[in-house]
Amino acid sequence: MFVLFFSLCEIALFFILGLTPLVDNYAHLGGFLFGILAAITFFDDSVIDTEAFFARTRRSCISRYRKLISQTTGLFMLFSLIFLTYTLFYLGGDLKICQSCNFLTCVEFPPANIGSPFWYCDSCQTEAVGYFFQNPLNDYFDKLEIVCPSQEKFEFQLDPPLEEIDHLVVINMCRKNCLA
Amino acid sequence: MRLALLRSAQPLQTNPMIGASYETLVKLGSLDANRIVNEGEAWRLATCWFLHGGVIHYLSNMFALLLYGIPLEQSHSHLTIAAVFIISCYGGSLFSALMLQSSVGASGGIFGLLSSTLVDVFWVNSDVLFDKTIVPGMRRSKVSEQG
Repeated sequence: MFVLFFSLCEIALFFILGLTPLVDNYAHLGGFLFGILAAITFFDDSVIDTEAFFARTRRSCISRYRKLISQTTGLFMLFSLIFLTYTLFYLGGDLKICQSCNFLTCVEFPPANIGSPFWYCDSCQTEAVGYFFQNPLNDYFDKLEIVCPSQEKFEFQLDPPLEEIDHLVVINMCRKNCLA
Repeated sequence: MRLALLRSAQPLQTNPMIGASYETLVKLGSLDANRIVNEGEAWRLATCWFLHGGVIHYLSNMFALLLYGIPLEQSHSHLTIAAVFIISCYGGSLFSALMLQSSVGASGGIFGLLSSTLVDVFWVNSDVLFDKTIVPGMRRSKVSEQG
């Protein structure tokens, strides 16, 4: 029971950690499912064998069929891994499973209507592209073109001009202009 | 080391876990479904296990890995635990890539060890794990005595 309590605490901790960007609760979920399958497959120390199966002593149904269940689970795990890989590589780009479920893996905290959040969950950080244009006279970057996640384009004059390329500028400009 | 860490850490709005920026992680091999599918970078499914989002992410993951990994390796063979860890890491990466997320971390493997601990305790074998009165190696002899 101590193990169960401790594991529940750990799951809760990692669920909260998964709500930040870059850490993904879907990966946690996938790892959990495949951990169960792998453990049922590999952890069976063959305590139950044919002898036990045919034994006339009282045994629970589960312990009789444990070996069968573990082998079936292993096969299921293998096939589901192959199927998931196939799905990823042949449908991955077009596949949009439950876009509205993304609150499970990234939640802005504190919420936007209370104050400016510590982190953002929008697509500007991952998908916005920025092109900096250099002024040939003084080698400073004074023009910026942004391609939004929705493939819209915007152009800006940078004032003051930048000495080095700064990706934070792209992200902030995307948040101001693309998401409105 | 500390200086390098501080220099590479980004503002909290970019990375709330005191770590590198998104672009750095992409260069180092983080998980990105678009790059995996459209640019043929399938190695991202494996390299993202070794990256972490930041200090907080890394410490909590390594803490959990020690917590679940040590008792599991003591009661099962190293190869078994390695197989469980790698399979669940791969499964976690696949799930994450299928949901079009971009992520880093060995979290899938950690959760695999966690769930396999639960399976070990509540399904495969009793309460031997985490029991301090039983020393490693005693389990097998116990089984053979029964048989």
